[in-house]
Amino acid sequence: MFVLGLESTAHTFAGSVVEEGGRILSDVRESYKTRTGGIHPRDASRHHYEVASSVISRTVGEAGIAPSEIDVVAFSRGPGLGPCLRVGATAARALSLFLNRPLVGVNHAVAHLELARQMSGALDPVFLYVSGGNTQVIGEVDQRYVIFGETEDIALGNMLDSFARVVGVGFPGGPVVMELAAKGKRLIQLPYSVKGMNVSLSGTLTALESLVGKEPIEDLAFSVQEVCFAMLLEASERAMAYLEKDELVISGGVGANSRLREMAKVMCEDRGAKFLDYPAKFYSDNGVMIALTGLGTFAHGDVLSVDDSTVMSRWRVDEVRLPRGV
Amino acid sequence: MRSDFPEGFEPESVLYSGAESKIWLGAWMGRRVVLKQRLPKAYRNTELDEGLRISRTVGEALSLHECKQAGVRAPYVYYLNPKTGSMLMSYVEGPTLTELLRKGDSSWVRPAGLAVGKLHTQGISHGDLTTSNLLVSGGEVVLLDFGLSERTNDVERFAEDLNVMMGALKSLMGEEWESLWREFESGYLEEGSPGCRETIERLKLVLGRGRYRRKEERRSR
Repeated sequence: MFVLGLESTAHTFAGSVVEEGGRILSDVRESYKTRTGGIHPRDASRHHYEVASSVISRTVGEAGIAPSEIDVVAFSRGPGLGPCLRVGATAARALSLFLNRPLVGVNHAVAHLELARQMSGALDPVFLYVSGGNTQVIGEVDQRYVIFGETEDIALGNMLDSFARVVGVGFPGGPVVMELAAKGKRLIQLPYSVKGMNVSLSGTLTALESLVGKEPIEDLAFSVQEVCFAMLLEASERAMAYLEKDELVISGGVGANSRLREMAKVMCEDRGAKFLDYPAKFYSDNGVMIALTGLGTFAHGDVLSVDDSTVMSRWRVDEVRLPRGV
Repeated sequence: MRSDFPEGFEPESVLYSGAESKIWLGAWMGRRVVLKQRLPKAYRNTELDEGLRISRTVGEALSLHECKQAGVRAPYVYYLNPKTGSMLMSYVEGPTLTELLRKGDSSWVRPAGLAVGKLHTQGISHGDLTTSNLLVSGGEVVLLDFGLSERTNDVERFAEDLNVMMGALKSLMGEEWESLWREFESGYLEEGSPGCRETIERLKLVLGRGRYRRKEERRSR
C-alpha cells in the first residue's frame, strides 16, 4: 500500500510517498522565502499554488510508482495558515476524486510528533515541540498528546524570526540567528520568564528589540538563544520530573538549531535521561510526516468525505485520538 | 559530608528531584529540616545559571518571610547560602490538600482560598499554586514551595496562580471541581481586598488564552 502525504500548513509545500510498513519512497519540499519581512499568508499560499503540481508529480515520480498506484491521499488539515492549508487540501481532494482513493486529514502537530517518535525510537518521551507557530511541552496520555506546558504568547520560532526581521533578515530568520550566535560571546541580560511548565517570550523579544543598534548583533543573537533555549529546557525538564519520563524528543523547525539540541543533550545526561536525536532535516515541515501519520490514521478507518474535509486552522494537538495498535 | 551541604546538616533521604532543585529531608541542630538545593545546570550558560540560582534562592527566602507578615503560615528559613543555592527550612508535618481531597475531606478548601487571598493582598504570587503545595498542620493552612514566587502587584500573576489552582482541582477531582472552586473562591474573596476581586475578573481573561483555543463549534475527530 502507498500513501501520498501533502503538507502545506505554512511556509513549505511538500509531498512524500510512504509504503505500508513505513518505508519512505520520496520526500520533495519547496519553501517560501522572503528577502526582507516575514511570511505573508497570501503570498505563501500563492507560492504553494505555483509549486503544487510540480511537487506532486516529482513526489510520485521519485517514488517510482504510477499515480494510479497511490492507495490513500493524506493532507495536513491544520493547524496552520488558512490560505496555505486550503492549497494542500484542494490538491488532495482533487487527487482523491480523480484517483478514486480515500482521503485522510492529518493534524500537522500530531504528524511532527509521530515522525519524531518513529525516527528517534523513543518509547514514551516528553516532546518539546518548537516551530514558527508552536511552542509546547507535550506527553502522551491515554492515546492523546496532552499539552503540559506552552508559550503564553508567541512561539519560539516566531520570536527568532521577528528578531531577524528587525535586524533586516528575511524569512526564515532562525538559521541566520544561529550563524550570528556562533560568533557572539557576551551574555546580555534579557528577561527569563518560566512559569512552571509554561514560558513567556514576548517580553524577551521586546527587550531584545530595544537593544538592536546598542549592542553587537552577534552578542544579541547569542544571548537570545542562550536565554530562550534555557527557558524551554527548564520547562521540559520540569515536565520530565513531574511525569517521571526519562526520554526527551524535540520536534518542529527550531529543532534544526544545533545549539538547542546540544543543550537538550546535556540536560538529559545530567538527569540520567536520554535525548533522542534524529536527522536534522526531519525537524522542519515535510510531507513524510503527513504520509506516515496518514498511514496510521487510515489503518484506523479514519477517512474523510470530501464534503467534510474543510481545513481546521486552529486544530489543537490534544483533540486528536492517536492511531495506536491496529 | 558533601562540601555544598550546610555545616552540620545530616541528610536522611531525597524527597524530590525536580527540574531546578533537589529536596532533602534531614536533621540540623537537633531539628527535622528540609534542605532545598538549586544545583548548577550544565546546559545553561554559566553566568545565566548563577544569576538565576542566586536570585531565585534569595527571592524564595524573602517570599517565605513576607508570607508570615501577611499572616499566612509557611516554613521557617534557618539558613541560606545563595552562592551554593542552598536553603534550610523547618519541616512541616501534615497532609497536603491533595491527600485530604482524595480522602473526601474538602473542609480545607475554603481556608486555603483565604490564605491565598492574604498572600496576594500582601503582594506575593506563588507561581506554582497546586493542591500539593498547600498543607494542613496544627489546624492551619501552610503554604509550601515558593521557588517560582514573585513579590509583585501585578494582578496578572495572581490570576495565573488561580488558574493553576483551578487546573489542579480539575485534574484531581473531575466533575466535582466546580463546587470546590466556588469554596476556594469564597475563601479567597473573604479577605475582602479590592485586589482579590480584580484578580477574579482577570482570571476570566487568562482562562480564554492558550493557542488555538476557541469557544465556537468544533469538528473534532
